[in-house]
Amino acid sequence: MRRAIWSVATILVIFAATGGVGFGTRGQVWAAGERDVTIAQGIDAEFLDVQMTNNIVTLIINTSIYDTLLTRDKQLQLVPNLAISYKLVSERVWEVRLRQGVKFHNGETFDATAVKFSFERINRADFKSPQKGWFSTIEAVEIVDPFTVRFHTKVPDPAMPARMTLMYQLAPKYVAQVGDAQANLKPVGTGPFKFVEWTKNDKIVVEANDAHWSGKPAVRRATWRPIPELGARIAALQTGQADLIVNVPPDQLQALATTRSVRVEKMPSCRIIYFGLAQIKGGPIADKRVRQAINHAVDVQGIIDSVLLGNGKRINSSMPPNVWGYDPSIPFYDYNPKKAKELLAAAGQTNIQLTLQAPNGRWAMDKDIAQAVAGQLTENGIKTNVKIIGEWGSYVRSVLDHKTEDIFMNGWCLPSLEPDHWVTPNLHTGEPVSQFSNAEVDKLMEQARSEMNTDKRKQLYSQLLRLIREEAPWLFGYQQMDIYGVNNRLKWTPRGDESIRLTEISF
Amino acid sequence: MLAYVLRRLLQSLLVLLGVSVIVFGLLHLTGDPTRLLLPLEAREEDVRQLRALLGLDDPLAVQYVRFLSRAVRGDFGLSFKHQIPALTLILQTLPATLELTAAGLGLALAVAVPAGILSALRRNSLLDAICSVGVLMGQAMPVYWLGLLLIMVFAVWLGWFPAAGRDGLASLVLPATALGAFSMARIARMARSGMLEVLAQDYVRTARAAGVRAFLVTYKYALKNAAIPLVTIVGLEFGILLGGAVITETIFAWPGVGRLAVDAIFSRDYPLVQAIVAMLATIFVVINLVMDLVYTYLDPRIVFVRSKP
Repeated sequence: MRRAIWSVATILVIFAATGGVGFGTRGQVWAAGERDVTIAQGIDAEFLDVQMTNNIVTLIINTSIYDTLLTRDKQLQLVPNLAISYKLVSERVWEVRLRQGVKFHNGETFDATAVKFSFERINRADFKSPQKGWFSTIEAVEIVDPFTVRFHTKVPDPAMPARMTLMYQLAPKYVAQVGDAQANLKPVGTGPFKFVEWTKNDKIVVEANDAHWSGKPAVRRATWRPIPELGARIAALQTGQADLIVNVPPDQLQALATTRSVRVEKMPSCRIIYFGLAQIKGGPIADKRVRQAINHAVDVQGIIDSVLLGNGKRINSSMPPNVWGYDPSIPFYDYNPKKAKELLAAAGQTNIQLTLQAPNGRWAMDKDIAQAVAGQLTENGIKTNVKIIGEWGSYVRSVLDHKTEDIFMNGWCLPSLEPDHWVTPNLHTGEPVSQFSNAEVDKLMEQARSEMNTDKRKQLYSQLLRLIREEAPWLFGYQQMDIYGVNNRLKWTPRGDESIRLTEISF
Repeated sequence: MLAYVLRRLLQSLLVLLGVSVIVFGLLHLTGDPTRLLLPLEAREEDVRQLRALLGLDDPLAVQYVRFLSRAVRGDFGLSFKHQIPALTLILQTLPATLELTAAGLGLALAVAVPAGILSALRRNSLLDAICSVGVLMGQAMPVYWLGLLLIMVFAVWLGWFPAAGRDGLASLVLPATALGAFSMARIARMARSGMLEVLAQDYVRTARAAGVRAFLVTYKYALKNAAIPLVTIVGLEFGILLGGAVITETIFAWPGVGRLAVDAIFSRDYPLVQAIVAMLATIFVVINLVMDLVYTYLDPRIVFVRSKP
């Protein structure tokens, strides 16, 4: 027995010894200085060659290293960045004046050559950039003088300023010298932060670029950490390893409330969640009255309140309120089961069986919301089964191949915040994501897309969004609430475009 | 002996070839990756262009031969998603996985072998009962759940270890414990039963009767023989742990091959998945080979003879 006691004691000593290694490391584990921050998101950056990605998380990280021509302020209004002004010279020519005295991190001067180079690089045939579509309306870039360029578009394109917020500027000489592969591993931009190191799936470190034209950033050094598991991400915030974490689901807010050193920040997002009604598939859903009935048969606000604990805002048509062109005067569908039944009766569809497909874990509480929607539809005379497709790749394929079930859940936000990017990809005939076709809607979209007069354009969007509401190609869902966990030592509030700007953090 | 090694090497190559065919076939059954690489709103024209750039337009057989002929030269191609050579990505992340796996296995052995031996020596004692309960719990707890529990207790409540990431020895403790728990239980059980079996052998009784000290009997004569089945299990466990690292790495944000593999599979990154599977299969095969050779060292009675018809 004595030997047994000794052995157990030995094991305990080993445990204590290994414990000793970790003991006392609380809050210092990622050894941060007072003005350093660690931000934990769900995934790692795909690329630090900013032109190789369309992924929002990746773009957020890259935005600290690279500057764009224009950008959006906290209210999401367009403001100058590397471009100080722009004007229309003719219907298809935009002239842009560039900021002078800006240097890339390697010392190279930023000028018109860089703008031309950056644009043409994306369109290089052998360059696998997923951003080609963002700039497909642009024909060419012309250098007027070292600090003036002209964009020639193929069609009148009122979205040009919005596109300029996505034109990240690369250093031409540097990229030519080191090649595309190296430019990705050791990125050089003009941004407020300089690249330090990247360990795949572990961390990306950047440090303040004190020579930045906008001044010295308050944050000295920032580390971007990918922590995929939500529980670990929350734990990292609670233990002080991370200062800012993203995508906190509503049902975890309680857990965060118990830690005094952290707070929760919320912001209605540019992302909308909708339930597409696959009209082109045929069947009962091809009938407008059935689609309207579906909108009357679901208590969207009730679901937001009960499942999302109030973290969401209803949408009245296919655009969120923080995108230009939104019309607040368009009424919501009211929850009215009686009216739904009348519409179904009028359509001669009193015995419908539908299937609703939803992913699992893509958007906050997605599966639960889908089940709540299906439950209410069934209760109100539209028998609906839920089909969960957990693997995102398969889910995307069903949408892009136009082989969805009758109802499919989808979320949408593009970093341009350009109104057309909410309607055309989702609802124009023949677009990959669109499972809807309506000549009148198509025509209005095309008109609005190329209308150069701002007032007229706004009117067209109002008309379009009203028509979309009437046609009910979706069960109109809600604007997502972005929820962050933040350490109290940070002064920071979120933006409505899902972005995190290090320059907006202070202490 | 040499002939045996050569024969085993040849067999291993066949296994790897088989693995490559299966992985290649299965991956291509999962569908076109170009759609996932491009934004949702991308036009058909862009999709076609990218597909051609990635060489996915060629017949499957042509793609396979191209893959194999490059792979034997150590070139697994560019990862679709990262546009970095697949092998480079693996070599960057493999050390983290090997470190985690070795630590998990080391911890499992360090706890399980003494525990197993002790409970064999003190059969039916309180200590034995405690060990049995521990084994049962270790085997019943899913890594996922155990991982989160460890984070909650040791990172959030006690603040002893970091919750996530790879920063030095302290950050290794929780993931290695989570990963090693299951193996710990299995090894302890094997050690106990192996030891019990050996202790019941005639030679042990004889040695005791001859007055050899109990310590010497247990640790010199009995343990060496009880170790043989343990070697088998340790070899297998290493492979299982490598696979199990996928979940552990995800929970603890450990930057290893497992997480790389999960991402690669979800984004249909063919070259990267193929390279990872090839790499893991090779490690697995090599370990099995080494374990077989270790047997002959531990027990000279085990000899390899060509089976005669």
